[in-house]
Amino acid sequence: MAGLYLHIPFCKQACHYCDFHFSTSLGLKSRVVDAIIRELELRRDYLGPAVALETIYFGGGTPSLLTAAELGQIFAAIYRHFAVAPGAEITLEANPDDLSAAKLQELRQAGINRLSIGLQSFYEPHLRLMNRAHTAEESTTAVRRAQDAGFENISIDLIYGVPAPGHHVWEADLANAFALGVPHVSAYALTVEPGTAFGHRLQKGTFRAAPDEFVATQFETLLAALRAHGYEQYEISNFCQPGRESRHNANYWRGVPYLGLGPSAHSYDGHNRQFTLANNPQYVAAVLERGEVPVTVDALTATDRANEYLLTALRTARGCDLAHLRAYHGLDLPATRAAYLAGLQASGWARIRGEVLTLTDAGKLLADQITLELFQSPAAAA
Amino acid sequence: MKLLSDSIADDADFFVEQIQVLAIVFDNTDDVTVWATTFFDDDAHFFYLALPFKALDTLLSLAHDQAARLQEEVADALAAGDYPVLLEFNSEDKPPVPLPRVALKLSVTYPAVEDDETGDEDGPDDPQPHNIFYLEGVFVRLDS
Repeated sequence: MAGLYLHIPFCKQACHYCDFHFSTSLGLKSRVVDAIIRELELRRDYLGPAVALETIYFGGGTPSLLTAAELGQIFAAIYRHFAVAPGAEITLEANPDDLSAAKLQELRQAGINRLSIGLQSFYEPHLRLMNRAHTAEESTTAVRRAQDAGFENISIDLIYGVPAPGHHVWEADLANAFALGVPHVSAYALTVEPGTAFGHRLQKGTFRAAPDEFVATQFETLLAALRAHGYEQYEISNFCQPGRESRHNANYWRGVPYLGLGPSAHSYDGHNRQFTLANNPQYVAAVLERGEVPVTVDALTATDRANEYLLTALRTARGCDLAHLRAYHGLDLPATRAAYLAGLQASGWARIRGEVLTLTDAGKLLADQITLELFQSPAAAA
Repeated sequence: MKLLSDSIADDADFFVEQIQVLAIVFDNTDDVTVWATTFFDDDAHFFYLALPFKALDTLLSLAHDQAARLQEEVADALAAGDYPVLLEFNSEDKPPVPLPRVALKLSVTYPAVEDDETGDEDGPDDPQPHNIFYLEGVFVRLDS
């Protein structure tokens, strides 16, 4: 069991919150596609022999900028170099403004069977604030059009904590989302990262992030609304109707190996991580001219592995299996952090049932801090 | 220019057309106030329009070629987060924004009556309506 991730590092315009690797200069797009196709060949043994791909995920950037011909070439290379499991989940991230009826037919014919559509909001000023390329109307019409084209397995992305006078806009966004009847919703808090347009505006004083309490209220509204509509929260930011989780992302959190292709992609072979250079021209030159994939290998120590397990498991509904942590990572939290764990439970931020540690709704708001607190330092592990 | 509240016939809901937006005001609540005029009987009538924040987008989207600019202005004001916000469109640089072919259904509002005034025989029997009207609906005339 393994996954394949393809990073398409191009966007028509830069969203003001985004710190992912992408370029708005599309001149290199066909060369990057050529390089990804070559990389598929160069790294065909990364996942080991006889491993079938259970999931394929086109992320970005904006993969919906790929033409039918480019997608066809990539799929031909995937099937040439890898076995793809029957019923594999094949996801493509798409922006609403790219999803014309003709485009949707191309995607279906190419083999895409799941769409992750970056709606973010149904409110025009918020879309303009975030510099999204689509309109509020397209947030709805794109999903409807995808459903009409036969896509049933659809996820939508929403962003909460966007500055607003009150919570009406977020409540309306949620109502609009439920009306679409999609099986999967990803909802992220707006964060201001260095190097983004929001980061610059924050420094200039022309942007002020919403207060923490405002964001927390919207997160609580989100949890209540999604549960009321029958969605399960299987990860802090991910919600689905029963049985409709993203298999690709869930496998990341389960530690399933995956190969990441394209500039800035990450890979994991079950032991170590690799990071591909986040520079389009240098990536293209290395792959196409020298036949080398410019990766950095991050050899994971036992401490890294324990911390990664904590980081991912605590974000999921399954929680952190303390017995697994003890048996496979040599970390006995109930013995070493008994007081902190007791404090978490007394504060109502976590619960331990059997030997499984899970965060409560209140604790999920503090997930990053709690995880950091539980992280093992290399010195402590030694 | 007259006040709209001085020209209404009764307290039933009614429609206004030929609307121009002079200002948008919002604070850290979910309510917005739009300062606007409506033209009838050969005169402009000024009024305050109260509406939920979410409905503001519907109004802005009906400003045709100015819709995108207005939505950007609201977005910038949201980004600055410096509430209360007053966006004025009443100068040479920023003239009033017309909402062509739009009819708004308005309801009349009155001053709130304090609890301890209820049943007060000296209280006003016929309170003067506010010049603040609540938005009940937005309608667009279709081209024939």
